[in-house]
This record gives sequence, C-alpha cells and structure tokens, in this order.
Amino acid sequence: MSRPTTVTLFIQCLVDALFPEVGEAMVRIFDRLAIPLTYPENQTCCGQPAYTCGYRHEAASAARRFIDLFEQAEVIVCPSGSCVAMVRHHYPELLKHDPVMHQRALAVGSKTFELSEYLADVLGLTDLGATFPGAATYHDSCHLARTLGIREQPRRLLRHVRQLQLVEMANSDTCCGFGGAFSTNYPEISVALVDDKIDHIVESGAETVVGCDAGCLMNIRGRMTRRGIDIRVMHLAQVLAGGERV
Amino acid sequence: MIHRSSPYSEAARDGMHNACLQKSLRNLQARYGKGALDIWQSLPDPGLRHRVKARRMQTLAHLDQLLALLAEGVEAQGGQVYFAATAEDANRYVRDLARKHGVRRVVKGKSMLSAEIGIDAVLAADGIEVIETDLGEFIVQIAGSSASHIIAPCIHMDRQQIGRLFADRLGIPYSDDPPTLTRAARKALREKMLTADMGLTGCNLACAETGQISLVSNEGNIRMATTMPKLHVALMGMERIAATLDDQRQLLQLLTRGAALQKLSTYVSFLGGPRREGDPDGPEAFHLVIIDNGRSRILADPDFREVLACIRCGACLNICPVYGRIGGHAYHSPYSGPIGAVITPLLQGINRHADLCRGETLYGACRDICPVDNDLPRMLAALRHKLAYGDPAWQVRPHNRLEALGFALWQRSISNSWIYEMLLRVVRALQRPFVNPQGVLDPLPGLKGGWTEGRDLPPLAAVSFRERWRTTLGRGRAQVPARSHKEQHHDA
Amino acid sequence: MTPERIAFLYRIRAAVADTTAERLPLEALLAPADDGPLLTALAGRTRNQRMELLLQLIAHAAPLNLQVTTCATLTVAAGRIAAITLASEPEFSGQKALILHEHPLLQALALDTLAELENIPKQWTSGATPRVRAQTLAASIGITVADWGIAESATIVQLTRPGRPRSTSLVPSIHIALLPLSHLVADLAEAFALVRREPEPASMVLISGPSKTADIEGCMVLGAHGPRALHLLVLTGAADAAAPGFPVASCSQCC
Repeated sequence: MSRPTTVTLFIQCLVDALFPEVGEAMVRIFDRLAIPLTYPENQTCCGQPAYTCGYRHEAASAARRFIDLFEQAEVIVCPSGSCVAMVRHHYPELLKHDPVMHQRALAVGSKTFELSEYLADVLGLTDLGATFPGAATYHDSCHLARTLGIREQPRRLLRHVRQLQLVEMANSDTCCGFGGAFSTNYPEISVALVDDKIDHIVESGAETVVGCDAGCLMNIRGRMTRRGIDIRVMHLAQVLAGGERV
Repeated sequence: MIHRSSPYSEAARDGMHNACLQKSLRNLQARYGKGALDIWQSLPDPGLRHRVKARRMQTLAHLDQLLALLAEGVEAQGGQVYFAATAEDANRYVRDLARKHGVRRVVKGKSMLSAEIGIDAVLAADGIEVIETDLGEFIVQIAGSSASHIIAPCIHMDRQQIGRLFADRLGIPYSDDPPTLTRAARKALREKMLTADMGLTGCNLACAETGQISLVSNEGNIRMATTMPKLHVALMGMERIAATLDDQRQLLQLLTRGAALQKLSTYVSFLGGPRREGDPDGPEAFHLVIIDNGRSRILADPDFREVLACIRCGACLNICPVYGRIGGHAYHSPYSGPIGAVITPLLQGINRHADLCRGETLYGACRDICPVDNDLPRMLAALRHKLAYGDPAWQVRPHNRLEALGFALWQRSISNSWIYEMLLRVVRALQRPFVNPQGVLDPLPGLKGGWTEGRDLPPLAAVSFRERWRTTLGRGRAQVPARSHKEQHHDA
Repeated sequence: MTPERIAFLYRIRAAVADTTAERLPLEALLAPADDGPLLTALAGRTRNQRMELLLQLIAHAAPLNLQVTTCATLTVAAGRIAAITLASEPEFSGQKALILHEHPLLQALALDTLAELENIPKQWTSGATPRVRAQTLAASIGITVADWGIAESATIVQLTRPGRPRSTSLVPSIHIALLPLSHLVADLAEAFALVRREPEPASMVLISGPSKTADIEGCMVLGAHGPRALHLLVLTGAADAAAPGFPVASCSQCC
C-alpha cells in the first residue's frame, strides 16, 4: 500500500464532455488525500468505441497515442472500468504485431487503474471520510466486474460512507443494455434491458443508484427520467467526494 | 446506422411483445442460468472446465484421425459411415437411403443439425412423412413454427395455444392441462414411433475410443427412434467427438448440467451399430452421417476454431439478457442465443447475419457460463472487425461505409486535441436550440434518434472537465509539461 | 477409403496444419484413463459402505420420481413386483402383462408360483424377434436386471446383451429394474471403469428415472415417450451374493 508521488488523471471522453462533475469529484477525493495530481491536457479518447465497433486500425491509432501521452506517468487512474479494460486487455492485443509497442502497452496497462480499484487495493483505503445519507444500491458494470474482476472494492468503499445504507439489488451484475453503439443501433432491445435494470433498482428500495461507468449511468439515468422515476444516479466518485449533486 | 427494420429487429420486437415468451424466458433464465453458474462455482474441481477445454482443442487438432478411428469402430460393429462435405451431400445420402429401403415414415429425435441442413423438406418432397417426436419440437412442427430455444423449443407458446393446436390437429377435446396434453401427444407419437421405417437423430457426442455415439433425452423419444424402426440414421456435426470414453463422460456430465442442471438426463444412450446376433430388437441398419457444411472453414481459422468446442448445452441462452428479451426466432437460425450469434454468421454468411454479430452488448456472462470455457464475446468482437473492413478470406464486404467513414474521421479528431476540443465547442454551440427546459436534448432524428426514442440524452456540459482543469482545478499544481504526440520520439 | 472420405479428412488435416507445435501425440490423446485406482477402491468396498451408497441413491432418487425399494430376499422382491403389478393400470395394452429379460436372477424370482400373479401373462425376451416385439407391445410392465447402479445420480446402467433387448425398459408403461447391492457404485467414473472391462455391448443406456418432459410452459409431466414410472428394487440380502449365474463385479465379500 504505497502512496505515489503523483497520480495522473485519465478522464474518460464521456466524463470530459458530458459529466465533468465526475472528474471534479475525483479531483476532490485526491486533494482530500493530499495526493498530487496531474492531467495530460492532450488526452482525448482511449479508442474503445472504435474497438467495440470493429474498427481496430482506428482503435490502435488511439492506443498508440494514449501510450505516448501516458507512459511517463507514475500511476494512471480512471473513473471508468471499460476504459481501463480497454487499456489493460485490448491494447496489448491490438499492438501485438509490433513487439516494441506491445511491451509499451503492457507497461502502461500495468499502471493503469480504475478509481475504486486504486483506492481500495493500491492505497488500501476503505474510509474516505465521506457522508451520503440514504439507501443506495450499486450497479456492477460489465467490464469492471467481468473483465477486471472488480466487484468488492466499490462496495467496500460505499460501506464506509457515513449514513449510507448499501442495499443490493437483484441481478446487480446483469448488463444495463448500454453496450456502446449497441444502445443506438438496437435501441429497442437496449431499452428493454435497461428497463429490467431499472425495475431491479426500484425493487431494491434504494434512493440512489451508484456505478463506476458513465456510459451505464447515462443509459440508466436517461431511461429513468423518461419514465419519471425519481432515483438519483451517481458515479462512485461523486458519492466518495461528499455527494454533492449537480 | 440504425437497423430498425431488419428481419432481426422486427423479430426481436415480436419477441419482446410476446408476453408468454417473456414470462417463460424470465423463469427459465432465473432458474437455469443462475443454477448453472452456481454448479460451476461449487464444482469440487475448479479447474475442470479449463482442462476440458484443453482436451477439446487437442481433439480438434486431431479431428481427422479421430473421425477415421470413429468410422473404423462403427464399421467394425456393422454400421455404415458417410462423410458429407455439404448439406446437399448429406441430404442426398439420406434421401437415397430412404428410397432404397422404401421408407415412408420417419421419426426424428431433436437435432439442430437436421434443421441446419434442411433434411425435412428433402424427405417430404419424396412424399415421406417426417414426424418430430420431442414434445416441444412436435408442437412447433404441427404449429408450422420453429424452435425458439435449443432445449425448450416451444417456450414461446402458452398452454391455451397448445390446447387449441392439439384440439385442431390431434382431434382431441380442448384442454389446456399440460399432463392431459402431454398424454395426448404420448399416445399420438407412440403410434408413429412404433410404425416408423426410419429413426433420424442427431448425435450429442461420439467417442473415437469406443466407436459409439451418445444421445441424451429426458422424454425417451430418442431411445424409441433408435430402437424400434428398422433403420437408424444419425446426423453428426464433425466436431462432436470425444477422444476417449473418459472425455465423453466428462463432456456429457457438463452437457446435462449446463442444459438443465441435471447430473444426467433421464436417458443417455450409447450405440454404434445395428443389432447384433442374438439381439431381439434394435435397428437392422445404422448409418452415421458425419457432416462438414462449413465447419472445416471455421476449424481452419485460429480466431474461431474454439467455437467448435461447443457441446450445445444451451447454457449461454439461459444467461444472455439479449436472448432473454428477444427470444430465439430473431436469430433466424436453428442456433440461437450467444452461440447462435457466432456460429450462424460463420456457417451461413457474416454479412447476411451482420445483426447477429452486432446485436449484443458483449456483456460476458456467456463466457462465464460456458462449460467448455468458450470466449464468445471475443469471437463476436472478431466478427465485428471483419464487418468493419471486410475480409476476402471469409467473403465479407465492409458492412457500412458511412460508419467506416465516421470512424476514420473520428480517428482524425481524437489524434489532435486541438481539433477535438474545437469539435466539442462546435457541437456545444449547435446543441443550444435543442436543449429543452428539463435540461436534456429534444428527441433527435438520425444518429442519436435511436437513443432519444426511449431515453433522455444529456447535452454536452457547458464547461468540459478539460476546461475546468485549465481554468480552476489545475491551477497552482506542479504541471507535467503536456507531451504533444508530434514531439514524441519513438524508442527504436 | 472412398474418395469423398479422403477429401473430407484431408480438408480437416489442412485446416489444423498450424497446430503442429502444440499438438499432443495421438497415442497420448487416446491413452485411456488409468482405471487401476478406481477398480481397487471398488474391490475394497465393504457391504456397509455400499449400504451408505444406497442411502445416497435413495436420496437422489426422490426428486427424480424414481421409486426405490430395498429387498432383503428374492421373495420380498417378487412380492414387490406383484404389488406393483396389481396396483398398476394398463395404458396401451388391453390387460396387465409382464415381459422379463431372460436373466437367471429374474428366473430365480419364480413369479409363476405367485398366486397374485396367476392370471397375468408373463413372457421372456428370448426367441424370435417378431414374437418378442409383439409381446413387448402387449406388456404393461417390463422387468430387467440393471448391470450397475450409480448412487450419485440415481442411475441404472443397462447393457444390451443377447436375449436382453432394449425395448423391455422402454416400451411398456412401467419399468421395474432389479439391482443387486454388490453392483451399486458411487459415480459415473466408477461405472465407466467397469464398462470398459466388458466386451463392447451393441448399445448401453443410462436411465435416471421415469420419462419426463417440461416442454409445455415448464410444467413437469412424467411419462413422455418412455415408461411413466420406474421402480428400482435393490437386493440387499443373501439373494445378492447367491444370485445364480450373476457374476459379482468386484467385491468378493458377501453380506
């Protein structure tokens, strides 16, 4: 459990453009921990959308750029499980025909962490001094839970938030139906899946649903507001930073 | 980019609106999907599936030798073996056999391979009566429909529909009581099974060591079809072979657990030839038809070879939320669910079944539940890769040139942060008239229309994270100089 | 080797040409599992241990609707068969009738001597095929002796042998199987170790309960196309060891 000299922020494109408050919450968390931060301003996108749609040349180009921008970092932390899975699991595969880039990809992947993973496993923290009253349930996003195997860490952190009552929903790790381009290419199926997810959230009795992936949260929130359901949808970072709603 | 009116989407919509199907699938998945995962998690030997997969891959690497051994074994028992390169070859062989033996009535055990090659129509064209004997298959057959689940074929029909169907087609008084309906089918089909000239089955798993095939069922129809008629023809996908009896045993045990949480199905039959001297029953002739029909091409591609390890248990169907909503008919294939989404394009055309390659979230539960550790999401991603740029080896054309252009432009924009930020600012400016009082975007046509039909879409934030960092968040911090991509020198 | 067979296999060989490096030698792949330890364990199993297995079998049989009865003697077994017969109703045949495998153990039951079964036809499965078929179709109950029983899954193993056809355990509405306790094994691996020692049968079937289906709305119904009821009579007494002409598979200890 070592403290770094500097944490480099890898801010998912969705967070940068649509949910900057999540990035801000991350900054508050690290500031409270007195861990110096840096943010490479030239970062854009890890390439996942291209990869998921099959456009591997374009994804590889994004990968090379990411590696160039981030490989000098001591440690890289990102508020998105799917982006971290992209870097750790798919970058080496995309660049496997270039031994040098492949090695560099492996090296960058080994120091890229998802936020809850970093806080709980690397820093060994469980209590960040946060307060967030009410019943909350946690949604396991696919890449975080299955590809990265991260399920306990967010829960551990949530359990130590003061006044937060963590309730489990049924099928917490069933897909919410986002799937990137799937959500716009097959919208009816996608909505059917998110409806199931929302029904489970409602059944859990929670007032807030927390997740670690902005894509999932955007999908869940978008459908919830359309259905007129008044449950807060928040990123883990926002809850751990003190839970100020935007 | 939006495939709203494709056969896939239309059939998916029908499935989603079929209340009976939805209820049945929900129950099925809650029970069998979770149940199978629990079984794997509580296996005394956690490395079992991994080892079994390794054996499957070794078996595939030796497939030609093992099939040759199997054929020798069957022939030594008095059976006959035909190697059919294509569906046409297989159909012709079986039709000629039926003609030679004066077959007028065929009873079938459930076989997806038989649906894949289309044997029913070929035999029917010769005036042969072909009867499905698995209750679910029988029901969809007389309803003129098709199976919507590998293990539970008529899951999309409710008891009232089946009651009306039986009243109409079997001439019994209307009833919607499952035991009554089952007894009616039992009686009607017994007659057929006892008077059929030929039994036509699939093959769950053959064994090279013993020269015998194994067949599983709970109903007993397969035992009937392989015991009472004079002729038994078994259709076998060429990859459905185990090297040793021990391999076969392990695979059967995984199959029955994955399919229906059973340690063993009610009946597991092993056979490899016709009746022997002194046997009072059993077929007089046994023909094993080993079928390629596109499998060797899959075998030759290291990216997809592992899909041939599949033992068709159906567990992936029981855990997939997409299948769980759209049902089997949307796949337009005898193979539905996650396995169907991979194998159907590979067997029948990747462009033709582009929706199957793209219509999933790559969630990953199917990989968790597969008893032979198959990585279906990886293969779906590989299929999408082929659709993106085309692939002459698989005769794939790029699937959507507009989308390809979109991503080419996307690549330009993300490789230069100045362009990227400029684009975001432009969109931010353009979106202003479309942001409604609730703070979300009005429903949009085109690109984002798919989203906004059912969900609210947030607008781009007024100030991005990058801008906030630049103006406030990042102030007063020790800056690491931004490395421009252009400056980067590559370590050789 | 026909030309199409050669072409078929060659196409496969070409497809896997790239696996040469990681391929096991064929002999290694085909090397059968070493049954030695299993067979040794089987040989050393005591009667008490088999009674434990019997308890397991009974526990696993219940949810499968497999009716298990323990019979200390052949007389008890015969009485049970009579009781089942009298309580049953013929389904497809006009009257109650039994068909039995030509097996010394079943002959030793001496069902002919039972007054309760006096008017009920009893046929054996030896003889010409058409006659056996007709009598099987006319029977309401088929009676066999299981080669082995498997405790873990409540399964019986039936090998096809001359004079012991498959249809006896399939066509009549009710199937009764006798199993000597000495032939009860723990799991499928043990059963297969024993199967491997037999000359290869024409066919074999593993039966784990009566026929069933849940195809209509997931409702479980017994009796789809096979027997609607399966009764397993486990012989636990001296009858077990004394069964004439019935080789004890592995254990030389008598009860």
